[in-house]
Amino acid sequence: MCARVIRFGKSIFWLLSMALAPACQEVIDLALPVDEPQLVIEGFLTYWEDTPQKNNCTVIISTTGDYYDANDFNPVNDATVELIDLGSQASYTVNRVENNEGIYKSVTIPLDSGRSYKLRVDYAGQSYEATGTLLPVAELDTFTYRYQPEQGFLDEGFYLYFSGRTPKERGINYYRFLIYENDSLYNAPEDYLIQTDEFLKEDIDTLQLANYAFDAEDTVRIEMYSLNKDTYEYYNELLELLFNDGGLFSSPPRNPSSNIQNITDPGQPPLGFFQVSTAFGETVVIEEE
Amino acid sequence: MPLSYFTTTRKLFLFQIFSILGLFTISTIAFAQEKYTVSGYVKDAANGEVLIGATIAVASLGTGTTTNVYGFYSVTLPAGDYQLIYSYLGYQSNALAVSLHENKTLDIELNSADVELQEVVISDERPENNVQDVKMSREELKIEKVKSLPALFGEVDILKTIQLLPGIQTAGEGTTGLFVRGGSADQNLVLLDEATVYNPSHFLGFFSVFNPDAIKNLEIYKGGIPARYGGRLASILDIQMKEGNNKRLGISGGIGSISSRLTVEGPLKKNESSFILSGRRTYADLFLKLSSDEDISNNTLYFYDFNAKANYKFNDQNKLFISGYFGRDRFGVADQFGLNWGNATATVRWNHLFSERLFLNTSLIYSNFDYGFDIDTEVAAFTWNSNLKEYNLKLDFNFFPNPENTLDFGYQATLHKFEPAKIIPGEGTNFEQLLLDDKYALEQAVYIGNNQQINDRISLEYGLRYSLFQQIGPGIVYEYEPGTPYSDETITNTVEFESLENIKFYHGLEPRLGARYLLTSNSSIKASYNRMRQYLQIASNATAGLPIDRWIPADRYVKPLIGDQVALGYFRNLNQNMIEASVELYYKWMDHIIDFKSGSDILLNNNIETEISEGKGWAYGAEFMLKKNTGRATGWISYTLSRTRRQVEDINGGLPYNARHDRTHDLALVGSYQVSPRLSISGNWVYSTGTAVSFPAGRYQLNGQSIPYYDPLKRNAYRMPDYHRMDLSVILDGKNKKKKRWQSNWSFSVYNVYARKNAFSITFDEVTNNDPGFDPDEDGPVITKGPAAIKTYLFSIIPAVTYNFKF
Repeated sequence: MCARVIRFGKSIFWLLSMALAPACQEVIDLALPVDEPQLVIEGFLTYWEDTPQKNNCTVIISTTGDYYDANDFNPVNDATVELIDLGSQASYTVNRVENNEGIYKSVTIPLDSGRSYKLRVDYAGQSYEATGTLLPVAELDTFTYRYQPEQGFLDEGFYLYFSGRTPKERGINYYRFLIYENDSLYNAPEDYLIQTDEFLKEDIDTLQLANYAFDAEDTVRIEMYSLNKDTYEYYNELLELLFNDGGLFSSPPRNPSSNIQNITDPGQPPLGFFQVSTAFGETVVIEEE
Repeated sequence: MPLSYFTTTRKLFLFQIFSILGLFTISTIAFAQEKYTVSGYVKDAANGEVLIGATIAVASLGTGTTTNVYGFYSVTLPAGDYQLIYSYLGYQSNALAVSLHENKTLDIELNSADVELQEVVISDERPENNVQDVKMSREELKIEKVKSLPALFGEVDILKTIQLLPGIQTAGEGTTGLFVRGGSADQNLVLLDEATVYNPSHFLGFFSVFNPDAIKNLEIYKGGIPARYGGRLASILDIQMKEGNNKRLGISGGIGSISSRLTVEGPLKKNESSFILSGRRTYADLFLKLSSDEDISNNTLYFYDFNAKANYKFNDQNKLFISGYFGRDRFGVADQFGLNWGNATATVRWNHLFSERLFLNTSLIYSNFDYGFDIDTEVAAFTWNSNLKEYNLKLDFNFFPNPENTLDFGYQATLHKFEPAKIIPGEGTNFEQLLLDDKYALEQAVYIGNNQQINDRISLEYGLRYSLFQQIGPGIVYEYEPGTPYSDETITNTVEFESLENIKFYHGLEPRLGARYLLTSNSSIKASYNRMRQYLQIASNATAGLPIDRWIPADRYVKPLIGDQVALGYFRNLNQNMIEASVELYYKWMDHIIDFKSGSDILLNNNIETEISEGKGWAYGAEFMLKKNTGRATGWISYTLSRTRRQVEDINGGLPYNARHDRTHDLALVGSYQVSPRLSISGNWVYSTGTAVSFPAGRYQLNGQSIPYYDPLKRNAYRMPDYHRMDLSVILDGKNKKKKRWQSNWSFSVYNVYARKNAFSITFDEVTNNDPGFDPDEDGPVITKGPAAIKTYLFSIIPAVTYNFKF
């Protein structure tokens, strides 16, 4: 909530300055440098408590390219990916999905809540490693929705609410939510729903989840993922970058610090992250009241 | 343990030294019988306002003195007959024959030099301060000058005008903050009648909090800072409020495009005591009310300022001043969201003359800055408040032993209270309250300085300041596992401190030195060195300030900033002192500057040390100034060539990089021309290199989104586009008959005359149909979509009209 409130605060200032000075935007020609391609690792290890058949380890490996290149995905197909269960020391190879460039996936690795795992990627003579623990998600009582008329910044429509309990007894918990409307994921920079329960009460009673106003008959799917602290911090830095104004009201832009380390050359960490999550999902169809 | 024994004894010791020194000098001089003192005040004949920095020259000796900030002067000379010449820029000089065979009090009133008269009055009597004064790296601005120049939306703004002077820059138009000789925005001490103004801006920096009608004088010290000032590395901006007309009641005001002003001033006791009340309020929100759209008409958006000051003269030895400022910004959206912030200051000053030669000012000062949010919506309901308070005691002595020496010494103590944030959720919400730890600190200083004329050629200004800073309890300090980076995970212990208990103590000497060598009667070279210590700073990585910026004290982990500066200058007056020219070179070192790892965690974090990296900074440059102060055409050309660098562990691979506010070239042309007694025109043109900025060196995909990639070794390695802009203004006086009390003028100004779209920021995002505002849901089919660099610019051409009156 904390980071979100601050971002909210900052966007209010931005809004205020826009109100004062009707700012205009235009696309400009600006020569940009082009660096050597940098390795990007996007790793997910997801444990579905209620539907273990969906458990998977998915790793997308690519490199950076020219900023102005229309294509922003430069897949890496010749990496070696393995996942190690840090409890049993069992190692599982994660193979590239055929006909899917840059994507490595395994659905057969046995996963269990509370266990820790290590991801290892070998590419171009360098080894990259990251670890994470399958932490519990908040217990859900209900997802509900409620109609709200138009109000200030918010459109009229149905808003989603969460009731349940967050396991504060084990310390601060971090979550990420994904929301799908009729099977399409809300996936713009402003759609990152990254939360901590640091300032939440343990028992959560109809907490509004996001500022989306849904229409009647929409099918809404909500997925909740637990995050390790380093992944939460990664997302926070990512958001800071995505909403950066070039260092005027925000910090100078910098790449989010990855939780993946370069074992061979620690001074050259990769871009990206390794997210180890317990996940939970539910679908509701909004009905007119 | 209460206040550290060490601190107290050390403080007392130094204070004693100063007192002894003071007494010693007093007594030696008291026994030299054949000397007498002429002292008094220099005032404006029209309204009785004291003139600060007016020159009193002793014609036959070639020496002299200047009035202090209260208009007081004192010259001690051997018995004899002298001619004293009182002069002040923009005023007619007054030469007075004085037969000095006893101590004398001479209060002098000077008449302002009207334009009609100026043609006659200009003569070789004009003070040659620029060349002869030991001070350098200082700029003074008369409020009348500021008022004559073009202004954004017609709002006369001293902080905008001083940015036209060499070495003083901005992060971008519409942003708070001055950047003086490479220092960052929190390294300027802004004083309004001695009270610290923590956030001198309204509307996020578009306007400053200083209502021009209530301000008399301002002076900025960029270097060669006298020992009486301390606490910030880069500059001291010393602003004095008007005292009010002590001759007659007057009302003045103005109606502008976005705000109106009204000032009432008058005598409390004729010719001796006066008051002034001045207010300003914007009315943008009143226009919002006219909107038929409820979403707009329900919003509030305004700021106001209120200044009040009164002085009372008990007798020739005792004078009391009370002044205060209160200003606030308010912004609200319907009933759901409110945001407000503002400063409040109060100063009580007592001027006491122990003798004709020893002047004491005692000040009690209070300053407060606070902001608050309150949100009451379905999503969130909470109030959020933050406060920064300061209580000050200052004892400032001026001692005038003889015309060759002017001594300043004193003691200053400040109690700081930091209340970073209290967030209280509304009832029935799912959030817990968040109360950050308050922090307390005591800052003290003793200082002594002397302005000494060694001989006809050499003049010195030197001094020493000893500053002490204690973070005191109540407070909490976290201890970390030795040898590991500070983080929540490595906390080993939490130490609680009782009220007034010493938590961390810093202290140090701050030497100050300035020297002038007169080459000829109209040229000189000057040099200065100063060390400054700064114990508070803003915890932010952003360049431009926001009202929610958090000030933090030096503590166990955050060290005080230390800055050293050397400057060398050549000063020359041309054309019988009509034109002042100067060149200054400076080099500056800054130690213990900090950078923050992540922006989001700074504001609401009790152990901010987990987020900092320490480093150093340096800046150097050359400043050129050519200025014409008198005649029908006045103005200046200022040019700065500079470089500002930083080096911080973990940033830019540990290698030096440009500060975000670094600008290579900065040029300002400012001119005014009095076309006729009723009509004057003014204009300015500014040009500067774009600030240093980081640009992406690639792009990648993550979570299905496009993310810009920044080369970690290229922090601020690129440049924003060049900035340039021209503004013009015309001031047309009404047919003001001399005998009529009603005087008025119209001020027309045009900001950004040629409507240049100066880049405010450049951001990187995917853009549809090459139009950043394109909305595929409303604006039709998508033809192209791709990554782009997007420029945001704030102001196109902005005309404004203001009507000013006084009677």
